[in-house]
Amino acid sequence: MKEDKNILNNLNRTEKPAVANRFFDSFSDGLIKKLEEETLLTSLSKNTKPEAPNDFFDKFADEIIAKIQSKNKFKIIPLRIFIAVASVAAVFAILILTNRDGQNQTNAIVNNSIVNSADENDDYLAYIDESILVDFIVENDIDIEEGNAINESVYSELDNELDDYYYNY
Amino acid sequence: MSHYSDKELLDFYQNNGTLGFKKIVTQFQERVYWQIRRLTKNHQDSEDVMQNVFIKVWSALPKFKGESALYTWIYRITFNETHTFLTKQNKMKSVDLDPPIFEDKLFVVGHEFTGDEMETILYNAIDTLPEKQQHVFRLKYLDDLKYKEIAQLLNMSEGGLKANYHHAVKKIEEIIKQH
Repeated sequence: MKEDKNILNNLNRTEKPAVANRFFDSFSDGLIKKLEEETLLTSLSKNTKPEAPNDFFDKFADEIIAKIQSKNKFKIIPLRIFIAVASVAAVFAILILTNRDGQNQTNAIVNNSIVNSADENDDYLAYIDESILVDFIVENDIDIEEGNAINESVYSELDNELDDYYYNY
Repeated sequence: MSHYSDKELLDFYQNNGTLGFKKIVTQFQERVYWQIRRLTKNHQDSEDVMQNVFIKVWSALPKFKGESALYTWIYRITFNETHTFLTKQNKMKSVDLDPPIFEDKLFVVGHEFTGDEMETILYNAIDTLPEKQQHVFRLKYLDDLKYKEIAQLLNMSEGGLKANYHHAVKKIEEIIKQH
């Protein structure tokens, strides 16, 4: 095996093939030129770009912040309070019913609730984080008032838009 | 206008939500606007959609994990919002619409195309590209940005951009030639 050690070094090699003079000096320039040269696409004549109104971009940031602040002021806080209050009320209602009618009736109510919620709600909504759902409702100006169920049109709206909204996260 | 890196913008936002958000809006608004306007073809709808986009950006910013460049993330929101808007609208508007990107009477490998036809072919071709090439192509070819500006937006090297643009152009030209 020792004898084999220098086999590669002992092989006679031919000369390295020649490269054109200054090939590597100009290679990167040539490549960039090729990348930037006129192509089919650049030969197509474009129309003049339409214009945005004067000052539009100067004012937009302030306008959007004003809009967001007014939304925060009037919509997000009441809805969150409403959800918190509604959750507490639901817990109290279950506790009262439990005490009044005993365990059997409670089981029946719980079972009914599960069936009803499966019937009435889109399965998909069950996997959405509540804060995302609340943001979605607020941002889309969906009107929810205490005691009113979400109607069919809202669910239709949710079906159409919730996918996109959900995957943004 | 100053250009801030994503990290600087997010640091601004962490220190002062409103001020940071304003800087984010200012930095990306033009790119977002033209992206929307290419599809809505008029200013009024573009403004409405852009407002919705940045309202969603504001709502989602606390959850932004920085796994992609800010522009790429905002771009996705813009894309979704614009397509939702167009689907909802689905209407013939009486407002003046912008002209197509291209002039009429385009001759490509012996065939004549109108500007509208070529625009449709181009958009369909762009949709077939990988996401990164789509971004680079739109910003370079449609928005006429310089490689340096695109590199800042996408957090990429100029060399990488040029390669991506080159590949995108080749693929799109192949598709155009097939029509």
